[in-house]
Amino acid sequence: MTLPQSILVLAGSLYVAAFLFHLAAILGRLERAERWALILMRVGFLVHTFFFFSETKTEGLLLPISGFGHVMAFFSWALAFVYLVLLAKIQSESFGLILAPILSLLLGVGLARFETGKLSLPASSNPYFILHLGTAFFAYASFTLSFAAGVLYLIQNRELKRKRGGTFYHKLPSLETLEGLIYQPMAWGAFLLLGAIGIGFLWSKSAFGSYWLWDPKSVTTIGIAFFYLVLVYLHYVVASRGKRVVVMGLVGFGLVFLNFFGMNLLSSGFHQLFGS
Amino acid sequence: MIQFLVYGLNHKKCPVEVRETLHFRERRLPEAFEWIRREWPSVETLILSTCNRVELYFAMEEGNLPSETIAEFLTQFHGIERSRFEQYAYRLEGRSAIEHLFKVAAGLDSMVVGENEILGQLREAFRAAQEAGTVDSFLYRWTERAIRVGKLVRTKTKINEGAVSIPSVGVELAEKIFGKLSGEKIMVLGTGEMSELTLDNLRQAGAEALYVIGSEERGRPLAEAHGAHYVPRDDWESYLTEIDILIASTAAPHPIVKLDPVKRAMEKRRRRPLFLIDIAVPRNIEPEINSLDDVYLYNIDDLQEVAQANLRLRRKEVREAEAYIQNEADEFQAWVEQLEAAPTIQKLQEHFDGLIEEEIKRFGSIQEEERKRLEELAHRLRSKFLHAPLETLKESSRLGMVRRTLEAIQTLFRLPPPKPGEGSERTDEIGISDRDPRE
Repeated sequence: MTLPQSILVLAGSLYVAAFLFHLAAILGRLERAERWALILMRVGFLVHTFFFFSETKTEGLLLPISGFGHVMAFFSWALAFVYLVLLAKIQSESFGLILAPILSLLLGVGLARFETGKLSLPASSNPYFILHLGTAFFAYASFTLSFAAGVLYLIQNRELKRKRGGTFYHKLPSLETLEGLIYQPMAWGAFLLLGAIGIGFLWSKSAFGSYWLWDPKSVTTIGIAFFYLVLVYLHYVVASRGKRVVVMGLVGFGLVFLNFFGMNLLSSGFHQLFGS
Repeated sequence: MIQFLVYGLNHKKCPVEVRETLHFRERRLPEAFEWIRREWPSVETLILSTCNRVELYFAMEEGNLPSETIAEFLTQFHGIERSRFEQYAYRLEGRSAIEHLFKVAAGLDSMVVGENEILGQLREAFRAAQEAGTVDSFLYRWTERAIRVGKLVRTKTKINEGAVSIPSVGVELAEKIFGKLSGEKIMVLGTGEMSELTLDNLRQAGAEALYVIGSEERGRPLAEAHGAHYVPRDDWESYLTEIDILIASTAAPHPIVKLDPVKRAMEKRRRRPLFLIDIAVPRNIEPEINSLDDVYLYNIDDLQEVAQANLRLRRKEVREAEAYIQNEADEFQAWVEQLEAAPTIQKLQEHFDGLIEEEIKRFGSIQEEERKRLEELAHRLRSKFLHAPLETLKESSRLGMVRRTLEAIQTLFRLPPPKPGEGSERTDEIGISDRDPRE
């Protein structure tokens, strides 16, 4: 195992430990478990950040994404950054319970196929390319957070319908709060994805000489961005509320997932960061 | 020897019709305290009288207070026969009494486990006893410690979490749907007592009463009292789109809030959540309405179910709360025992001092320098001799065995037994601090 891989293993282990403490907190098994869980998440994030600093130096890339392992590591880092830094106020045992395993899983999957080698795309050191990747990954991270809040919303909704006053009823935030946590990152994600698409046009022009190239992922990404924009419009402008729109948000995340993993694995082209 | 004593009756065994005859009304409390001061001048007393308990707490340095004497006081003061309440009364002494007051303060002895009201009632009883002059150092320490224990248990455990009454469950649920309440609009259908209580609770939490629907003679005053609009009985369905919370408690024999109008209203509301509270029996709201997305319907049984679930959660915390109480009672008892040990320690020191002085006198006239050296030696020997018994006493007080150790010391060194009242002396100067261990 190389040193970068060891660093990622350490970060992943800290996220796993944080998950266990979140679980203990929600089950009320350990005093101050929530506090320890948050500390472990933050330390894990710092180790995760250190990985990118060291890789930037080693790989000589501004944004070290050169293979499946790096892609997963960067995606999970962006997710941890949005959760721990941009949305610090929402940190709680319930969110941690969903996000800590997602972070560990992403790192685990990345480590299982940790191969490096610079991307053989034209103009991959172009600032437009770096910005395009960065904004797209942060958009996906925001959608993941919105998805986590959506799952928690459905759990709390089910608890309220069951009328039993169970553990999740007590531990989860109100539906109103969760709605806020669904739509705020969703709006960020939608606009970041629009930004990523716009920047992608500029990179395409400098790399391939044309603003637009017919590529399946370009088409589906535009579709997803508009799908999310419609949801954001429905919530903030039309004032549509409730379970139906939340479920649509979860469907949206399913599309993001397919677009991110499916397109990379199934299709070939300049959007393939990893795959066969 | 310091005595702690509780004599009382509570909701666990004593029926309410007996408890109410023994209740000390606020206006009669001065009279009761006057009687106590006159009859038991050396006894510190606190009266805790609530709807669930009538308890008298005593602390005294000497003597005892037989149950018959206390029962006689209650008989004479309230003018009821002793046979009516004596069978329900309990008497706790020493450690059991100390723990009991701590449990009462923590809400563990309450009908609704962990309720907060008892702590306020204990504070009020403490204040009344202090004003009446029936509290001195021991009862002061005991009650003050109990109040601290009450706060500690509520901070460290979840004993008081979760609503356990119907109106407060209504508020808790509303907050789980709408977040912190701030201007959510309430419509009240019917004017029952429980609906008014729930309305009061929701308004206190931040919601706003908008409409009251009911008969002219009862609905209008209720609307005016809560700053709401009065709406006649037949004209309320159109308001479903405006409100967030509906409380129904009419005497109608069949459901009056039906599925279809709510379904239509939900579309117009763009699926904004709607919370329906049906307190009426027979029910006023069709139960099928709960199957609609974003509508949360709770009838009286559902509210009780949530209250019971919360109560079960509180009961789970009892063991942890009891551990805190045991710990606090241990510390309090250690303090009391150290206080009790003080006179014997004083006598032991005097005994050593006397022996040393006697031995130094045997030397007759010696030079000043020589005398100083002898005194220094005597002082060191005194400290070393006393070290072991003092440490043993400290250890014994932690283990609750101080009396046996004191008796052993008294026998070994042929010390006279302490006189009554000697226990309240300060003990700092003689090696054992009388400070409350938590201070």
